[in-house]
Amino acid sequence: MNSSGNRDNRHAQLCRFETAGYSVIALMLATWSVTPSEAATALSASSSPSAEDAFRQQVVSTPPSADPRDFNGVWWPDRSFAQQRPTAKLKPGVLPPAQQLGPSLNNSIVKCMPAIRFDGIGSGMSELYVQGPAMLTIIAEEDHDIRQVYLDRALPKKPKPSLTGYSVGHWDGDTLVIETVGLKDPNGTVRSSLRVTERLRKVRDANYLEHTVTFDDPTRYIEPYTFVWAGRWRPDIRIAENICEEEYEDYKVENGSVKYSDDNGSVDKGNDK
Amino acid sequence: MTKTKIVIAVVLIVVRIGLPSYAQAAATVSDAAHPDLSGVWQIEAAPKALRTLDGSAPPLLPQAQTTYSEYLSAKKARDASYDTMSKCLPPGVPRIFLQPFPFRIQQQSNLIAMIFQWNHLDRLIYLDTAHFEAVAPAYLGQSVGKWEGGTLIVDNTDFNDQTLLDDSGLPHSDALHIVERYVLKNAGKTLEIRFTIEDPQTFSKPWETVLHFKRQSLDVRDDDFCLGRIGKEPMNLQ
Repeated sequence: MNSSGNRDNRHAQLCRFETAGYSVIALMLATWSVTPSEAATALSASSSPSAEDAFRQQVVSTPPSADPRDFNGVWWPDRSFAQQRPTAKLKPGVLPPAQQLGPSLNNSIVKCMPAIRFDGIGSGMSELYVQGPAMLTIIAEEDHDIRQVYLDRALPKKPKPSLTGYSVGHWDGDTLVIETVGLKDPNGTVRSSLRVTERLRKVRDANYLEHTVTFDDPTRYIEPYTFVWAGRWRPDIRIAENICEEEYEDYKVENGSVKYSDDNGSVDKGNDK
Repeated sequence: MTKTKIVIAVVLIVVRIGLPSYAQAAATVSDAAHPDLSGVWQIEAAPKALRTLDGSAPPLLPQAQTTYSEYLSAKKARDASYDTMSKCLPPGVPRIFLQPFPFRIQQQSNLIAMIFQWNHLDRLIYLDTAHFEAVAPAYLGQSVGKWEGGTLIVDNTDFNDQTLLDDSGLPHSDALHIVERYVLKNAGKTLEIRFTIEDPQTFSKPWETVLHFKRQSLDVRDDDFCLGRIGKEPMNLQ
């Protein structure tokens, strides 16, 4: 089952970036309606599955694993929680991400490179967690995006900077703490001071995987900032093949705007929506 | 060294290298009937063109032979327009295995995940289901597997017709059906995959080919983005 159309999704992603000036990796946006603690409270408000979850699990006979440290399976980003992000408090003289990145942002998105990282809720498409003793592999349906989280080692001292960074995880009780360093921006800027810390735990009777994501970069931000989102247990979904590269030739960038030409030849400006 | 000292040393080593305090043992199975294929692998000697087990050319039907000849001519003339992989679309099966990049197998009890470094592609082999209705035909098809006497047998269907079987341009149709047999050899240092390729619209009969992969000590990187590699020109020239 595919959780969203490939083209629609890519288009939505571009629109989102175009209109709000959202940025990459650290993407920290305009407004903030739910604080991290409010989102966490909302997530833990109910300890039993909703009627919808219960029905779905009855149909596929697969309740979530009772093991709090077993994240295996498909998680679908639930937009009920923390749809908006805090604004990063930037140090004086630091440009907001969209300005700092300039054209490299659209360039990166159109070329199917990861513009959104650590932000499953942005995609609306499912993620498959494949968890072994030494590695947690997170396979996003969207753009066949891969994350490899090493569970058997410490962070390297000098990781080769990349768009995906280097991630290691360890357990703090039943919370998996994933730390990521070695990131760079799409324009090539190495973010050697950026450290992303994610805390993942199962909540609401294991029906949700809660992500608390903290970005810390003392060279850019006045203070670290945090947001929360959640994936919903979806044993009824098998992630589909989603090939972003199919659309590459349909996009054109003209006068700074991304234009998308669909199969019928009609052209839609990304920032009209 | 006394027993106590050994225990302390082991504990210190474990603490130092930061082994996970808990392993998801339930997620992984490994015994004689289910050998653990997990690890990083790379093709030992990639053939330029696939051959059958006795070294013959695959039994192409006349129409497919014509198509193949056209592709060979185009390739000679440096025209890659027939080849979707040149546009960063996924190479199909078995072509994905022929690339000079490593891939990682992560074996679980209910599925086997393959992570290919080439354009960070993933391929999933489900062990807990029969074939199911596909959303759409796929570049990498739909894969379901089962274990038989220590061999992983994978049945692949639902391919689209947008890929080629090898780098030489060997074509196929969307009627392609591939059965793969995975076995470990050479004390686990070599992975052998034997492919049975069947496509009544392309080949006069099913044929077999075999590939060998060497276990690698390096990791698979997840930061290879094909369009970023091949398209150096900036798209946004404002």
